[in-house]
Amino acid sequence: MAIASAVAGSPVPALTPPADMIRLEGLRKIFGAKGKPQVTALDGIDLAVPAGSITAIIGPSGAGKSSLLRAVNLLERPDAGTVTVGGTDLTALDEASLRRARQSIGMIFQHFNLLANRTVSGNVALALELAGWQKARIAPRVTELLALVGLSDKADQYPAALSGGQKQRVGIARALAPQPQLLLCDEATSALDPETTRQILALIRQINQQLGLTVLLITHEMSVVREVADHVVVLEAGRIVEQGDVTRIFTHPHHPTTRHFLSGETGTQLPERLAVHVSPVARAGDVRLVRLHALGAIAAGPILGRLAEAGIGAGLVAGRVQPLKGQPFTALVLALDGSENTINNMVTRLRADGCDIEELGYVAADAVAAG
Amino acid sequence: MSPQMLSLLADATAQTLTMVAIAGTLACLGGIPLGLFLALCGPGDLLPRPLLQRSLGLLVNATRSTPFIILVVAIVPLTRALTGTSIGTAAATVPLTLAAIPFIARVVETAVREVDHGLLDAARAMGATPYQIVTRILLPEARAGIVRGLTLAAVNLVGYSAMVGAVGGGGLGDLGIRYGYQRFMPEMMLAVVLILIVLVQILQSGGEAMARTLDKRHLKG
Ligand SMILES: Nc1ncnc2c1ncn2[C@@H]1O[C@H](COP(=O)(O)OP(=O)(O)OP(=O)(O)O)[C@@H](O)[C@H]1O
Ligand SMILES: [Mg+2]
Repeated sequence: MAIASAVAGSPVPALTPPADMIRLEGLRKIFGAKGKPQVTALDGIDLAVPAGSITAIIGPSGAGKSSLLRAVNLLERPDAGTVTVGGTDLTALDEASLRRARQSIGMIFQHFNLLANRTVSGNVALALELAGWQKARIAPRVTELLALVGLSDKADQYPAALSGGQKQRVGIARALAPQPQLLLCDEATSALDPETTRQILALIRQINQQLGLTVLLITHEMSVVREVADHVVVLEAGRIVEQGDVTRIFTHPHHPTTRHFLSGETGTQLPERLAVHVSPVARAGDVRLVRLHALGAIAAGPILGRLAEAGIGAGLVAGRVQPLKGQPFTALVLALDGSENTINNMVTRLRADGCDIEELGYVAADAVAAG
Repeated sequence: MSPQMLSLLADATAQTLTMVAIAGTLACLGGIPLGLFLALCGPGDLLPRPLLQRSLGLLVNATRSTPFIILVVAIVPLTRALTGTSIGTAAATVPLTLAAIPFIARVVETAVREVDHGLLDAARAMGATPYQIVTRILLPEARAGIVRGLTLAAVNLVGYSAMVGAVGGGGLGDLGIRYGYQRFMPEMMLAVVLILIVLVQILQSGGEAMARTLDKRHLKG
């Protein structure tokens, strides 16, 4: 039909790409052979991943992150629910159509999964051979991809001669080779050191922006989320417990699991020596512990200044200022010393200004000082 | 050593090599596909045919646990039907082939099963068909292991081919028994043993060298 209208000279109606690259509806996955105890890995997942976004799935070990990611290209077929990618319901496809659909979904892995007996270019070429590309088109495409991931000089090396970061670059080049619309990353940086992780994440960001590729990644590191993600999905025990824009998740986390992950990344976990003394009610001589998140202009300095002006003593217990989406993101645990009323008023005002303040309880002033 | 003895040795070596080559080739033709079937068709494998896979596995085990010398005698009717005789070099290749097939099948199965499972995930994620997974991923990745297994099979065949000498199969084993032992010519026995050692050495180091060139999993200094 497209050909007919082109011949007739009338404009081909532009295919509007679906706003959601991935739609998961009612996904359930239960593992366990007959007779063995069953594990519900996915327990009713509904999720929409916007086209062009980088979405991070985070959650504790065993939460079902890998099961969820592997359901997207049906490496793991869910027991119930539908998986729609780029407008196509994959669960309704026959084997041959599913294989074709998989060629527009790239995937990279924690342990790279490269063929040891193929060179770097051979590994990238494999994806194109499997996708049925003509020989003559494969070589230039491989060259182009190796340039994109910065490995042009390693084309004829075998994976054994590469560092972890270089292997993952090969994995990325291979995944991108057949020009997919979607890239799935299963703990793609978990086997890499922090500096290499940063480089790989920067590459993923670059690909996302240059090629408009949608990225769905799973990680158990909040730092990965902070560095690349637009959207965050928090998974626990096979369910989505919280999801949202990365700034919202960092500044106003709702779910305890999210808060827990966040406090690890922002260095605002309550030190063990204080945690054991925390009481939910104030006793004589206690200070009030709060965890504070603030983004951008309302950052660390001004906040401490305002507390001081209001006559509130603010002891710094823990915290960090880190970049988040190009803005300073402040996360602090403060020990506030002052009258209940003054502190309450200040908390209300700071909240109104966009700070997230979490009450942690009360602890003796000298316990804080002792640290 | 007399010229006659030398020519006896040369003939016997040629017979042994012929037996090993023919039995080895035939056993590869049977054993490699069988090994692939065992590796690919078990429960939860790429192309599950669990019932047939299990039955063939049992057959392989049964053949492998039969002592070779008993196998030689037990299949005499088959050998006669195939070669028209039950003695001589041609007849000896039948039990040799039959003994090598299950051995090769198991070493091929092991080599294929040792391919990292993550590669299967990657291949499936790239939309590979089961046929492509076998030909482009499993076989190339398993090739060094397969070559090492086949080397082992060839070395075993040399040993077994010496055993069929005892039942008139010809070759170096036959010569060693008839001259070295029955006619008490220790120098003949020694020569036979030396030639066998050299043969095994050549096979082993040739196979290993080939496996090493094929194996790119490790950096070589
Ligand atoms: N093939 C399988 N067979 C049986 N159980 C499985 C299988 N795969 C996953 N599970 C179980 O399903 C649950 C979710 O596993 P999954 O691998 O998705 O978790 P995860 O969030 O990726 O964990 P991690 O961070 O440790 O990788 C776990 O309890 C796990 O034991
Ligand atoms: Mg996982």
